Amino acid sequence: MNTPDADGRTQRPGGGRQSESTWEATSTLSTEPRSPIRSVAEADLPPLPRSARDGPALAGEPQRSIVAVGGGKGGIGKSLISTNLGVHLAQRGKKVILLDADLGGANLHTCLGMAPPKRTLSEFVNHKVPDLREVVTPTSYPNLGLISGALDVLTAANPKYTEKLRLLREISRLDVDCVIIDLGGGTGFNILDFFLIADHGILAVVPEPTSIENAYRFIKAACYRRLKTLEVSWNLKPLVEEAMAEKEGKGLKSPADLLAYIDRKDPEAGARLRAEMERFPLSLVVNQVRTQEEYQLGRSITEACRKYFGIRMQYLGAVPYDDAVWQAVRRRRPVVVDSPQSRASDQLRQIATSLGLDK
Amino acid sequence: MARADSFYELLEVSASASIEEIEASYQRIVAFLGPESLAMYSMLDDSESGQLREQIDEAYLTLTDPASRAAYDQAREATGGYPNLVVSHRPPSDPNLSVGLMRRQASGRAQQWDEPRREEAAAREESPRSREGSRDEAPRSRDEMRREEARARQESRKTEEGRRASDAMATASALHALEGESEGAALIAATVASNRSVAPAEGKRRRRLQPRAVLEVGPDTEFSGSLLRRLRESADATLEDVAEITKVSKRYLAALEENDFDTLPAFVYVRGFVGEYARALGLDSKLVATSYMSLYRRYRGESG
Repeated sequence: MNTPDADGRTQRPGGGRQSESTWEATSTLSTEPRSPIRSVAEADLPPLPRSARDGPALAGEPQRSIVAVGGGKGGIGKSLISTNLGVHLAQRGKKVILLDADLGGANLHTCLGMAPPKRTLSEFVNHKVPDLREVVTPTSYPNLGLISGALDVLTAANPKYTEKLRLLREISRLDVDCVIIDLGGGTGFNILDFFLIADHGILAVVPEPTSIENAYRFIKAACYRRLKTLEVSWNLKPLVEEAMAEKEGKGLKSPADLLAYIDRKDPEAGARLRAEMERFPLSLVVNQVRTQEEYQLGRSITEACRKYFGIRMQYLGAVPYDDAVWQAVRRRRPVVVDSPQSRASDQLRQIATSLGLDK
Repeated sequence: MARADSFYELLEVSASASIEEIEASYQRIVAFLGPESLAMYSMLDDSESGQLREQIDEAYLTLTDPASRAAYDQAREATGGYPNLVVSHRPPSDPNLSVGLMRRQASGRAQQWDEPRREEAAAREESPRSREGSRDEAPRSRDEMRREEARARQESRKTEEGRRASDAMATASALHALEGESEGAALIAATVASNRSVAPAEGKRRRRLQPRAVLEVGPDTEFSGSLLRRLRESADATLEDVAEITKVSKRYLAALEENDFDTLPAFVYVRGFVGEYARALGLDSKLVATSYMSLYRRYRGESG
């Protein structure tokens, strides 16, 4: 596990910034583990990201960002974004952990040119190892560790809820500069909850109606899941239930509809919710862009998002369709390493800058 | 879905926007919401998007017509910026402004914009020619219905509408005289009749084109877009000319000529547009619209 990297230094799990004995004492987790006595409803919900709970990091506190890359559909470039973002930040001297949360279909090790790791999330989820840091595999890139999703274990693909919660909390505690979570396709709860603990949720799309459709489905699902968390904290449950009931089981058409309903009934709660939705840390990358029109798509999507979801989505840019990309994948190397001068590499590096991760 | 409080918000322009700015914004929004738009794919269901497009068309039509816009602005002021609220029934101080607009907004239903005023004027004016033409004989049910409708509507701009209305009545009477004939033949008669009646009236008026073509139409002639184009070209007019006269956008006029129903907006607006176009060519708008709209309906497969 602790194999020396190219510089002869031992890559410790967790990036080695703190020795284990002092880790607990200087934990960057701002809220203490919750007391065991709490309402059943709260127990149902994933923890909120640090930035949503407590605002920006306090002075002196290490900056740790969690980035999640989703999109509701397979094959649209999520792994492209997560691996290249991770490698780029690591090259910039940041301590990064890549987490392959595609529980049934882990691929990140392949993107990085690694053999299938011996330890995976399964070991942690199944309690074979107590500490998440023990399943971090060093990569051939300095500063970059990988937590691989289970390769095929069915049980790990559908962890029990309590297990998932434990995993989410441990991810939040990883003491590195950046954790990048690569989600699988689809909009199941597991995927959404990983997305929701992120400080930055990146949505990847390609200029195809199927991708757009899945993206909106994903956003809606993520919004509602997020609202559910807030609703419990803020005692909005009766109001939300009322709103849902009003549409007679057809479901509200959009989160903006729900917000409008709450606005009418309880303007103060509505205003708070609206502020929360605006802070929903959603950003967009459009992959495989070829035409002039497709370059405009990103802005149109963020506009549609604002109008119909009430979310301020940050547009991170369009990654052009580039032969350098599929060639790099074939060679099992990240494109920023294989073809650093390519346009795709440029745009991918730009994502780090736009999110303020490379400061 | 995000609610807009006013037509200006709906068209994403400021309250002091020029017609050009409104037009540009409208075109952008139409493209954004259009069936080919990738960014909006799956965002709205059919009824939502239909409703939104109607609202946007309504906003566009209102704000690009100076009198309607003035009436709208007045209504907004009167209701503190929420013209969808019911307005008091006090008639407007300027009879040339259309209260039909305010009424319509209060009822929340979109109606064909031009029709009410024209019909109202038709009822109101009752020029001698129309009176003698249609009163004495048993009125065709269509005329009767039109007059009934018109009486129920509000006041309208008088001079120009009145002239148009009297032409409509004239052609109606021509039709009447041809009672029993097919629509197509009646159309020729209507065309001829209204061409003869083209004469500048006092006050504000709209230019009319003078098509030189003589249409050979038979009983089953469908008044499709290509006929409109042929007539326009025979009048040496461009789409710009027609747009200027009718105040309908070039885009829609071109779509009308091409029977491009996918580009055209809701039924009620298309009917208005084609009626305006017909009128600009000196044709009876009702006849042309009816014929054209049956094409439209067939294409849409609806019986609306």
